[in-house]
Amino acid sequence: MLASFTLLESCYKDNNNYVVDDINQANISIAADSYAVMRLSELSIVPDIISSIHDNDSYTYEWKVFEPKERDDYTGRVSYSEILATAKDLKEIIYTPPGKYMLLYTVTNNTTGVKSFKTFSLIVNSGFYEGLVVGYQKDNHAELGFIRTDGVISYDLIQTLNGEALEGTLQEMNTLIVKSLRRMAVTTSSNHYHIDMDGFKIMQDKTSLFSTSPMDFGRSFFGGNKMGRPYHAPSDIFYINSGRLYADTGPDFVGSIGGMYSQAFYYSAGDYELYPFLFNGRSASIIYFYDNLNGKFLQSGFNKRTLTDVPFHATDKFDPSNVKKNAIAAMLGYNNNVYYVMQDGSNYYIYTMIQYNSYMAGDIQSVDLSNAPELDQARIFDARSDQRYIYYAVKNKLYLYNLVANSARLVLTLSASEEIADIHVYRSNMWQNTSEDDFNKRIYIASNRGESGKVYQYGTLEDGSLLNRAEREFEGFGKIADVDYRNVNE
Amino acid sequence: MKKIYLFTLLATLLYSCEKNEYLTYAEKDGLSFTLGKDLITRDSIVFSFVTNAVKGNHDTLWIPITLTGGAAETDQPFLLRIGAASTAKEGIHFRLTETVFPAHQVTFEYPVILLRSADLVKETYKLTLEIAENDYYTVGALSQRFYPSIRIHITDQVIKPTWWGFSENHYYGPYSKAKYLLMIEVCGVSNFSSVFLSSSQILNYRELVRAALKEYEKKHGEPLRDENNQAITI
Repeated sequence: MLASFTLLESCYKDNNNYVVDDINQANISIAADSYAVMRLSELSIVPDIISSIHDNDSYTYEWKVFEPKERDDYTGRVSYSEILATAKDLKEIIYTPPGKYMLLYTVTNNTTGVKSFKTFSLIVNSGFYEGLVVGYQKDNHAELGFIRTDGVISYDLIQTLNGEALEGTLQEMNTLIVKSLRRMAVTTSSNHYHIDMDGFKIMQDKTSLFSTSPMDFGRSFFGGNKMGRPYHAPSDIFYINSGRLYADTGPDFVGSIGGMYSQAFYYSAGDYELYPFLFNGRSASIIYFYDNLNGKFLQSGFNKRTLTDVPFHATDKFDPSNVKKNAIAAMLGYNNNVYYVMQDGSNYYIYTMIQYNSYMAGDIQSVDLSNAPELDQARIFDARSDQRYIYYAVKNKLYLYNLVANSARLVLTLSASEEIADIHVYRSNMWQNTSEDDFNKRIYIASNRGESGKVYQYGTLEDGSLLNRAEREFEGFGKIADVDYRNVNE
Repeated sequence: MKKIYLFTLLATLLYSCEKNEYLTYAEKDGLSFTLGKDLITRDSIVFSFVTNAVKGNHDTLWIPITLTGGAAETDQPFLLRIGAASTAKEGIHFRLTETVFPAHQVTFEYPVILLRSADLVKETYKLTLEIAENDYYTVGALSQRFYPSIRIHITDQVIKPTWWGFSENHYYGPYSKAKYLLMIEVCGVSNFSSVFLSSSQILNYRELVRAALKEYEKKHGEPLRDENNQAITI
């Protein structure tokens, strides 16, 4: 009996209660599923919270933003997240870096501990989300301005946002905005910078971009090739300075950007002097350049750091290793082709290069200078992507050269006291994945009157003509050296 | 009667069980060697003064030691033992530093001073260091990355680094002394480990060396060869 009693007492009692009651939960109701906000402005969301049973419980709240990782994100970067607020209503200035996010609203019942959730998509736009970057000299130092697509102008962004000035005289700027790349390279007479295009912050300069900095900075170019699926981004980012070629790894291809350029590319035949431009070979695994020193095209491979001669292909229309001319301009043209303006003494030619193709040497057009006024004086060019048209500028005049007709006509004359500093046709650049309906429908013309710079925005017609009047004029810049377009983040 | 005693004992045993709320480490604190900057892939390292481009007559290796247990409130002495298999001589080939594990830390880098003795040009000497037990510490938790002892091979010759493995063969091709010396000369560094370098750096160094090989071949009319008379490629 004692044993039985002991055994009974040692049995474990099942105290589980299988009676189920409803618990008080928060039902969240919000008007929209997605929000867009400009960085540094306020985001306000007022949700309706209805308790399912009674209103006697108290709740705590959390608004959290986090960055979902894209399927084709091959970088190793850590996704961003932050808690925006811990109040029922969200009414906060958004400091989150520009990008696409998920916003998670969590309501926790303080009595039961039960959480209710609601998610939204949130797009944070940079204050500098799209527009024209203007590089100019002001008070003896280089500065940057920004003309946003809605017409808002910002001046002196380097000094304002960084508290320091760029060294030297501004020479070139190139934006490179594609997938995780959001930077611009600025080259001055004595330095080279990478600028973050979401906030115009100086990221690096020559002291960290080069293991051994070049002695001088001359004509330059910064850009990438464009690998196909699944990357749609550069495998390498290239920098040409004074004819020498450097590169870093493309973060969307290799997984991370190195943060420092390679040594100058090696060419086994000896020295080289590249014209500052590049274009893509087949599937962009080959990248082409033009060597002004040796009068030939050269090539490199993706993730390579050497230059080699371009082999002749049976369907090439000329031998790319035997050009023997001086490139004075290069630009993206019609149908993704690339144009090189070549000079040979007093003769000028337009070389059409075919991108993403097994052969690259397209047509050669000898320019009829009698029908292309002042083209031999021009050094500022840009082309449309929808027509075989090239704009070129000489002093205060803008001309339109028609490749098919081999003739040019005057389309704009500014005042005699002005000089055109740069032009930019609004169109897709070589690496961006976005497209806009109004590509090729406007052109930006930067001009200087003494030390003051101004930008005109003209609408363009299908025949290349400009509308009679500028759509907009933007003043207040110093002496403009260069303009480039900041396309939207991807 | 016997059965009553048996049942009583059984009942007592049943009631003597009690719930243990939390499982905590209650053993003696322990130390073990682990991987770090100088000990990259396993529990041994080959240190060569010449391939590390050491200019002076000594250098320092930093060996991470990690704690099993809770961080102490004060610095505590620990004990290292020179293994019986060691051929390196203290005061000639190496010098050990003060063995004190710092307070409030769970890992620390222990410095071992290596001395550039003249006989290292012809010979390689081995130093085996073991965690020994003292009042404060025993040997800590062990696994693939935590070791009770390490071996340091000290030399002043060109020796294949311990980090040159499968990945390095993939990036740089098979190891040879001549290739490794060329890489050091051209690139100005001696650590080409794929664990230590970024993808970008590996890519750049490879191309630098390739360019140097091409220049050599242009100048001499034939490729540069290694100690086995094989053309060096990368």
